[in-house]
Amino acid sequence: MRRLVLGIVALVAGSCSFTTAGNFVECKNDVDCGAATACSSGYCIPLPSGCKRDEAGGKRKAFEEESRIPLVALFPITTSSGAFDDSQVQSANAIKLAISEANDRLSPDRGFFGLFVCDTTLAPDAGGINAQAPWFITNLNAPAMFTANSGPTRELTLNAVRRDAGTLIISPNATSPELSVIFQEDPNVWRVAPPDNFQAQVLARVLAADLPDAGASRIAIIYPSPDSYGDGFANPLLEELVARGYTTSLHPYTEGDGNTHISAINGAVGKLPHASVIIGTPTDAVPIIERAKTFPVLRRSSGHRWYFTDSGKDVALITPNTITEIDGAFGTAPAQGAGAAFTTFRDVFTTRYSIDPNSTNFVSHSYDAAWLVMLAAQYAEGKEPADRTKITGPRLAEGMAKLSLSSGPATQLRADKWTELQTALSGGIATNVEGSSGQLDFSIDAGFAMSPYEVWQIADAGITVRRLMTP
Amino acid sequence: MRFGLLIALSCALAAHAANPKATQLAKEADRLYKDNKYKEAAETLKQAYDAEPTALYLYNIARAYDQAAELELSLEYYRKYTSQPSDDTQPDLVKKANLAMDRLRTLVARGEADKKVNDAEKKRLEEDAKKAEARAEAEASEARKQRREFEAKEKARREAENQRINGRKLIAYVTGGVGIAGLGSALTFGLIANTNKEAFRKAETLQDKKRLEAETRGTAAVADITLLVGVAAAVATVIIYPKDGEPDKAVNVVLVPMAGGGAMAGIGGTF
Repeated sequence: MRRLVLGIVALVAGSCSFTTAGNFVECKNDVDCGAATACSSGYCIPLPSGCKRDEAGGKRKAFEEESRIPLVALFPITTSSGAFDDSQVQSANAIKLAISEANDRLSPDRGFFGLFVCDTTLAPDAGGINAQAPWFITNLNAPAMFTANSGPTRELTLNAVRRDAGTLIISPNATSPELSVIFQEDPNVWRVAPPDNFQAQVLARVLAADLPDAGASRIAIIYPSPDSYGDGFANPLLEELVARGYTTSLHPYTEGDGNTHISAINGAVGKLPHASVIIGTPTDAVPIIERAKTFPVLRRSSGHRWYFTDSGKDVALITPNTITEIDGAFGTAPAQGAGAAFTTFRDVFTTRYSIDPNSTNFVSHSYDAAWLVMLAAQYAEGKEPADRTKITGPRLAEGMAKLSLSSGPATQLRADKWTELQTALSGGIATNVEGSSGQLDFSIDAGFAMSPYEVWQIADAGITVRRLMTP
Repeated sequence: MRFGLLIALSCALAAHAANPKATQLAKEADRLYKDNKYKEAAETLKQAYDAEPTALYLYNIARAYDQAAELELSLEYYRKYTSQPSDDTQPDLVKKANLAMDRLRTLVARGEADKKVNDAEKKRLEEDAKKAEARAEAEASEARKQRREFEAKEKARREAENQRINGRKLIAYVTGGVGIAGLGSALTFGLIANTNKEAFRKAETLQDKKRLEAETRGTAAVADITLLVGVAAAVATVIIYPKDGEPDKAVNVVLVPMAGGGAMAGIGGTF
């Protein structure tokens, strides 16, 4: 029988698959993934609710680069009324400005900084900051985060994921004295502004100098509680005022709660104050003032005076219903522009965003915070060849310590100084820097930089900085 | 001739009517003779002769046997008639008897010769018939043997063929089952892999992405391998399954796993 081998059919499946075992690499950079997503280890992952990529601007587009180093700003950008909080928006802009200046001077092998901005008030049901921050730590290995206000900053310091990762927190405006205590246990929670016990000293001095009636001796403090910022400010202020001989009463309210506004005012009326200090943002301060107007004893026409803290430094405080009561009122805030680099910063910021950084609080502090983190990252990466995987929270903390030198000539945090500072920090050289907000001489024991305070006043339907004061 | 016997018989009866029995038997014999019952007539005449030994009866017995073609018996009674002369022996009858005996002897001789020839021929024919029968029997036996052998061979061939076909059918059923199972598994795992891939696309954390990628790769690899096995088994089934008048074939199916998660399938056919 004739036997013939007629055919052999060979089907080869090597690295590919007939079905679905391929195409798992979804991206090389964030832009590959589309909007509201980030690229991590080749995967496109949707950002948590309330978060977005925020390109810093400038020549270098960090989100188009594979070497993006994630930085996260966790700010309450939207107020409870649904409007934008301009001070938070400008703080984010200041961070973006600093990042764009650094990125334009960085080489790809050292990586480019990409800013993710989360509105912490947008997704309270999704967990807010306690869901947003761990997501970036877990999924993007974010080494540093910018936080706003004392309460959220304190909340994030206690977050287990953040603690385990050692992620660096730096806040431009968290001023609660409580954070200095936390820093003792967790030395990676930094603040660019000094704690409010120092502002309380300044405000007490302003109040004492400003009250026109020498007989005025009763002062009401209306403040949010329980709140890290409110409690952290009200109590030191109470102590300062009592020490100066004033009869002082505390009247707490809950943020955004009209009923507690009324109860706080009702309580204050019973004390017949000559002056009242409102610790709070315009969201609470405006309805409180409007309520106070219904009581003759709290009217300006009766000699009553309003005083504000840094959280009240916002033109939103000035409304047709409040202007008659608060015109000429004073407030205090950590000084904007107390640093030598402020002039340059102000010019560049104004040019880019068409707004004076002095119009809201902590803008220059935010700018300095971004600079500090990025320079600490240069220290973490080390000399060439740079290793971006070394940019971790603990390494950034070491870098922050290198930037805390307070002796010797200070180098200003300006774009034209970037290369000089980068070289120094990547070489592990301790450097004395001076920012836009102040000298940035950090207390290694408390995690904040001491800086002057400004005394601002409501005048001509606006806010004017009258002078600087040191505690 | 018959008429002559009757005359002679009548004369005899007229001359020898001494024994009525014999006479009666003679009349009976005469009647039988006329009815062409010659042997019966001869036997009756013998009884008549016993009753009355008249020579004429012997002659008439011989005549009756002659008519009945009993040549030997006729000769015997003609011889008795001629050899035992008595008073009633008639010379003309003796002459006739002698003529008759001559004739009969010739006929007997001829008959014996014919008988011999016939016997010989018969014997020959019988022998030939026996030989032919034996030959036919042998041929038939041979034919039967050949038929039995053919039938046995045919039966064996059919059984072998059936066994081979059944064997191939069994293999085809097995490969068909493997094919169905393989394709079914491929479909199932493919759907699972697609589900995992879809979940992978929708995953919102790095951990879920990595986990779902691993799960998708695993299920997809199983789907691929089972698809290869299923396709190979299905093709093999089509080739292996026997068809009417199909010549022998041999099929080799080889599956070799490869590094990297794939596989190589080879199907070799010998036709």
